[in-house]
Amino acid sequence: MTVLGAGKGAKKPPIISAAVARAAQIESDDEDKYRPIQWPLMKRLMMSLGTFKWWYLTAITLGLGQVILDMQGLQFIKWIVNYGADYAGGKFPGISTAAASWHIVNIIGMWTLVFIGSVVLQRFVIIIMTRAGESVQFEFRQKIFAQLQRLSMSFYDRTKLGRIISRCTTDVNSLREVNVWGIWQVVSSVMIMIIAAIYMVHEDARLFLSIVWLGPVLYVLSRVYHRKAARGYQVAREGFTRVSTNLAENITGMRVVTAFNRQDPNLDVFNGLQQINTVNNMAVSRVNGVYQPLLEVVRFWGRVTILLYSGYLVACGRIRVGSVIAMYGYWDWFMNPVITLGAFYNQLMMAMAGAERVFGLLDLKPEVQDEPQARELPRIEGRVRFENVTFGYNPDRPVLHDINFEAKSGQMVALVGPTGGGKSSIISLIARFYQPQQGRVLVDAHDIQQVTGESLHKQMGLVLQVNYLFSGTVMENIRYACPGASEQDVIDAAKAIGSYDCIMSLANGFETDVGERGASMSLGQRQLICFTRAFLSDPRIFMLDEATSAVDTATELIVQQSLEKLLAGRTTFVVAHRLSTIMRADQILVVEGGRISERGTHRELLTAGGKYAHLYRQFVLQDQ
Amino acid sequence: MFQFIRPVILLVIIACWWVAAASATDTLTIGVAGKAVDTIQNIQQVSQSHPLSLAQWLHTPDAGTRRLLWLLKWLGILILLMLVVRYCKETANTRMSMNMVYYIREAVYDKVQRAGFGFHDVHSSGQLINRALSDLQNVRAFVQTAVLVTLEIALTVAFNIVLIATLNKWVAVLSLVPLPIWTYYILRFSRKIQPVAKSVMEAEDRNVSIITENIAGVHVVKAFATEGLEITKYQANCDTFKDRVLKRIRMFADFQPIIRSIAMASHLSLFLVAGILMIHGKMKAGDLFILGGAMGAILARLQLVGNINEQYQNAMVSSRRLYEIVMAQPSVQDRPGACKLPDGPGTVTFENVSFGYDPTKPALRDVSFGIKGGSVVAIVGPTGAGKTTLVNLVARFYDVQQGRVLIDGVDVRDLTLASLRTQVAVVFQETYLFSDTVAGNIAYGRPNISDGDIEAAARFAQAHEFIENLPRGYQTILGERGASLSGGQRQRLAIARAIVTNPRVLILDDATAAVDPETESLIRRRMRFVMEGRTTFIIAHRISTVKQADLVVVVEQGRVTQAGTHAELMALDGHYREIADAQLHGDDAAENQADAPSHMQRVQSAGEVEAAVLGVEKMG
Repeated sequence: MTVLGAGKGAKKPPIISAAVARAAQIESDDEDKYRPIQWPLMKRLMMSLGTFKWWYLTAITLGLGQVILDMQGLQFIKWIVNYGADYAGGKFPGISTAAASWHIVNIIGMWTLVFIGSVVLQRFVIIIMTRAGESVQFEFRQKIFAQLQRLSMSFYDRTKLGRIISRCTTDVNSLREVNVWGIWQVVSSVMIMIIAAIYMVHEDARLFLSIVWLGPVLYVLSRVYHRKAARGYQVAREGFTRVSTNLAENITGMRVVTAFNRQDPNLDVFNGLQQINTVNNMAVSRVNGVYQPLLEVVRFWGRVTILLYSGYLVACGRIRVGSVIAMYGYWDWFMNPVITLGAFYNQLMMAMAGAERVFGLLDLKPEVQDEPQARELPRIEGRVRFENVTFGYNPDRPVLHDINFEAKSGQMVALVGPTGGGKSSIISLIARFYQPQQGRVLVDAHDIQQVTGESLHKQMGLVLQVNYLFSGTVMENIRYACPGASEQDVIDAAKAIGSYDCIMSLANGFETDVGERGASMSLGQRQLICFTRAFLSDPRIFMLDEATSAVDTATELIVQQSLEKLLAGRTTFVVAHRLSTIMRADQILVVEGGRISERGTHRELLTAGGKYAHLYRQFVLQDQ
Repeated sequence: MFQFIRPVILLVIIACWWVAAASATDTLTIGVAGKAVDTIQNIQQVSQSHPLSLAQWLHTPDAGTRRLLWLLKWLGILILLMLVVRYCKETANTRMSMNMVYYIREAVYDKVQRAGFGFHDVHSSGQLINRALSDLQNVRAFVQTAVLVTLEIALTVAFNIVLIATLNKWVAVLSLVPLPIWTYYILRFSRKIQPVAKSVMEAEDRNVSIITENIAGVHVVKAFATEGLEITKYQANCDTFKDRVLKRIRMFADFQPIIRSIAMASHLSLFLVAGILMIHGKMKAGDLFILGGAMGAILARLQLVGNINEQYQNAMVSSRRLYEIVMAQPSVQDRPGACKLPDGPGTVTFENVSFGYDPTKPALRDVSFGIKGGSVVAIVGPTGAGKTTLVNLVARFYDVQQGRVLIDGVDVRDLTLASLRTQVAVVFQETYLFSDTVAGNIAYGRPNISDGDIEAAARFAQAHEFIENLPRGYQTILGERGASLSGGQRQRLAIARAIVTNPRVLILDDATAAVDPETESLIRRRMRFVMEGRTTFIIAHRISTVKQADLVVVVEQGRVTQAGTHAELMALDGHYREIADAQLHGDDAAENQADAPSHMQRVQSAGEVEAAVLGVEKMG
């Protein structure tokens, strides 16, 4: 049974090492994980906790009470030990063993009471503190989401989906360290150190002075360690991303791998990446292996000093053995916060990186926004006019130059032309996804910049090549634009447009779950659902980016018929790919290089004998 | 699970050894420090009230002082020992787990690569990726904790109990009492918190998927002005999410006092007993010190039991799933005695072939036809008729259930897969490119080909021009983090990739659907030279693509219903003439792939959403 493939020891051909090198080289997509601590950012972060100010204060006060109670434990041990040692040493000759034992029981009894107090306090601290912190977290989540709804299309063009998701997940989560326990960690660590120091000085100041210098040493070591470890983890994470990317890629592209018989070289490349991954992880573990025990050694150095020096103090009769144990314990109380703070510093830098990006996103100004004096757009007839419109996704590189045209109410306008000519940009401008750099877009007589986005969009319909459906049922999807529509309205709409039979042929009719991203349905079916959705919202202006890919002939026919019903009586713009659609248009705009090079009806343009006529002859007539 | 440990068993043993060494050193340290405290108590008995300088004290011949110094010297040595032991423990642990991961991942990767199409029809890519990444992580976490941490817990408990027993065996017995109660509550907590933690995770996933959907469908949201609706939807989810988070916190806050109280109760009772024993002169200060230290160490370790329990359950499920992959039989394999494909013109013959992905539901029934070497065959028919299935059998991506498929007179099942697949090249319906350079992608099937040949292939596929226009030409890296190409450009690269291998049989499965008609006709013209001397299968919707073929095969419902040249079929009633007629009235016009704004392209690259959710960057 060869469960595991034998590691191939043979030396690799140069082709493979080149491939490994290439794969290892591909730039990492990771964003900065750490940023230095910046006060303005800290301040803003603190301000966002403001709503829960009193919660935090209460929790911190209670928490300090708990810490003080907990720290009393060592005092009780000191009592027991000193009393026991003295009694055994014959210092209390008049007291019976039973009475002495009772004394011990009393000490333990008091200790129990103190402990109960601490447990009760702790429970409240946990509940109050986390409730406040999580509430702040959710406030951030909702603010980000609301901001995402405000931002314009150009933001979504620029920003990768993965990045946006990580604003809402990783970055928000990195703030948790500050929001939930951060303040508490800093306050309590400092308090604990002060209290522990007071106790130790109280026992013997010179003893304390002989070890306190180890505190800064530990802090510096701990910072060095966390910095090195963070860097190591970063490298290891990148290496692992490469391994998992390669794996994911070759599983997804498995058909190509099989067809080209690439299994052997692929395995070598994969193992090459794995080896790098192993080396990286070993490096991290060496850092851990050196520094973690080293931090422990620093603390131990203090303990040995305590034992040695207190041996001397006891010999001189200055302290007693119970104090030695208490000192030993307080030393731990003193040093633990140093390590906590060292680790917290790293988390704070992570929170800084997260906060910078979250605030950066929240501060973005949407490029397309309702003007302050924007009016409601009244019910429109549906005239659309472009006046000297110039536009570029990047203002330096316009994709539309000085566009002028007018579509009368109820007209159908077909946009044709080569890839990158600017057809979709025209549609996007009518939908006010972007703002033109020059000129105006008018609907009826209203400049669309001067009306509210909502009143404009309520009268528009848009169906794109990507027939986007939300997860949920067919019914929910059709009703998406008009949440108030009844089931009967939806069914009526489907019947009117001719998609009813097609929807009923799905597994559960209108209640069929479209599956995430509508994956379980055919292209034609999804298109029909999108048409029905647009039809139900009854827009005055309708825009369609026709699908390029062919669906089979039977579905195609239904799609064409329902399209016809959808367009009837509305002003329509179609980025057209089908001859039948183009021929039906009242006006054809040939868009090339960001300009309208020809315009007219199919017949007019054919007669004119320009580019359109040329294209028509070359690709349509040739096939007949 | 244990089959995965076997190859690294030596490393596991080494790691275990260091864990044991570390536990022993820790326990010894507590013991030695305790003895030092005892000694200090002795010193207290003989302490003088007249002050002594530190230097003087260090040199007093007093037995107590000498013993204290001697103990502290050993404590120092133990600390240095600890430094070494902990380092070895840490690195041995990582070495073990990294090696284990390496071998398992290699095995899974290799298996998945070779398992064949049938395997991948059943298991989705996402599922397989998830197994190879997170299931493997579960198994690793388990071996790391279950083997090493369990050992650490067991040894720490044992060593410390022994240490306590050296002081007083009844106290040792007493200190055992709270351990079962403590362990019980830890396990109970981990069992109770698990479903709550899972529900929090689900709410978080749902949260991410709402955002993902919202962004992927941003043009729909904007076009219908439903931003308000989306915010309400999101807020509703946030409310459930927050409720669940708070529930988890409450549960934690409920259990925490119980767990702490049990620990404290055991400490208090031990100190009570120790205190009374001290009164009776049967224990000393150092013993009490050791008791505190040892009990603390035991309880801290036992607290880890909760994690192990959870990890154990995850790892059992995960390792079963991984094992399933590693043990899967490839659906298509070389037969014993399989030979290389002999030279020949490239004739392809189907003899009474029946095949179904599910054998009870045949996708092809009794298909027979023969193709002369070097001819061009077009396959047409409605969606789901079996066109792709037909060509998949030529490349032997599946084995037929009945009949035979022959290339140059040899049954494809008698050939080695290596020789068959270097002679049969396929351009798939869905183009898949790797995140490599353009040149690397084209040379995929023949990694050591010259740059000149790569360029020649690109020219034939009409890809050279746009490649030259890319930022770094043939050295441009493609994929998620590199240049993004349009659907048509990607298909042209796939064609170049197929041509480069110089195959005897070339299969184009709807390979130019996303290419605009203008470019397609250019490709077609160039391809005539490429097709020279090879057998070519073309699956296409456009009649213009089909009509120059030497033979047109019409497939409907798994059967070949018509076969002949374009002219012959146009003369007959049937599916072919139907679609040809339909297309003359409404086929793709002088229009090509829309210049969608980038966000739309981004949404189109299916799988990115899924990848983002998985946290795995996938290459387009």
